[in-house]
Amino acid sequence: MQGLTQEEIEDINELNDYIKSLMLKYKDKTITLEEAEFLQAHIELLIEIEKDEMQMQEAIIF
Amino acid sequence: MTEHTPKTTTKPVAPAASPAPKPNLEVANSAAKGAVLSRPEAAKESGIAKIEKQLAKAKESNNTAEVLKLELELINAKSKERKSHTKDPDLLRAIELEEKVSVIHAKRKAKYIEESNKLAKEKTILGTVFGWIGLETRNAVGVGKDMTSEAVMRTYHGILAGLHGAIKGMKESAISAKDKLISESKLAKGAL
Repeated sequence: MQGLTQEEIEDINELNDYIKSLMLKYKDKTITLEEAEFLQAHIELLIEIEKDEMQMQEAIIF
Repeated sequence: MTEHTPKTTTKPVAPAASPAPKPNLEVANSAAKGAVLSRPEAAKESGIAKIEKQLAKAKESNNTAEVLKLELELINAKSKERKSHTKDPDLLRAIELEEKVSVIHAKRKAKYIEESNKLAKEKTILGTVFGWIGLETRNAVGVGKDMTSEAVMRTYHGILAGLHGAIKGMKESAISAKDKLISESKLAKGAL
């Protein structure tokens, strides 16, 4: 959360809450196809961010 | 009045060379399922593909400002495309938030790349300075080594010259001794 504005932190928290609600819907098997597709896209985005972060960390180490 | 109808000969119709091709069911099915995009969707897809191509080029040329600009454009285009598929207000808001997260990440990445490029430049300068110092040191040591070897060579030559002089002197003294002996013997002969 370093270098983020208050507004950006709030947006991220809001998105996290929404993702949590989608996960609950997924558990209850009440999730719609659109929501499931969004969840998939979100996971893909998270993986991409994680990859970039790892590359940055590696570059800092070497 | 009866009309005269010309005699018509019925020729046997040649059989078809090959049966009519069957319709490609797979293609038809995929089209039915929506695999073939409608015109506006295809335009959006091509727009995204175009930005992706430009982005790849900018990344190759290491143009960080252009990369960031194109990445932001790509995020915007993808977000618009995703929004066009849904009417759910919650999902629309979530897509908007995700777009913001992507923008934050893209900016962070661009900043990192810019900083690492700057660091690489500093490292290159530092490396050049150290390289130059190393090169000069090596040259200095090399010259010193040459000087030492020169001194050794001169000493060696000096020793050789000294030896040569000693031998020459000994030879000369031997000759003079011989000459002395001869002259003495001549004198002795004369006396006899």
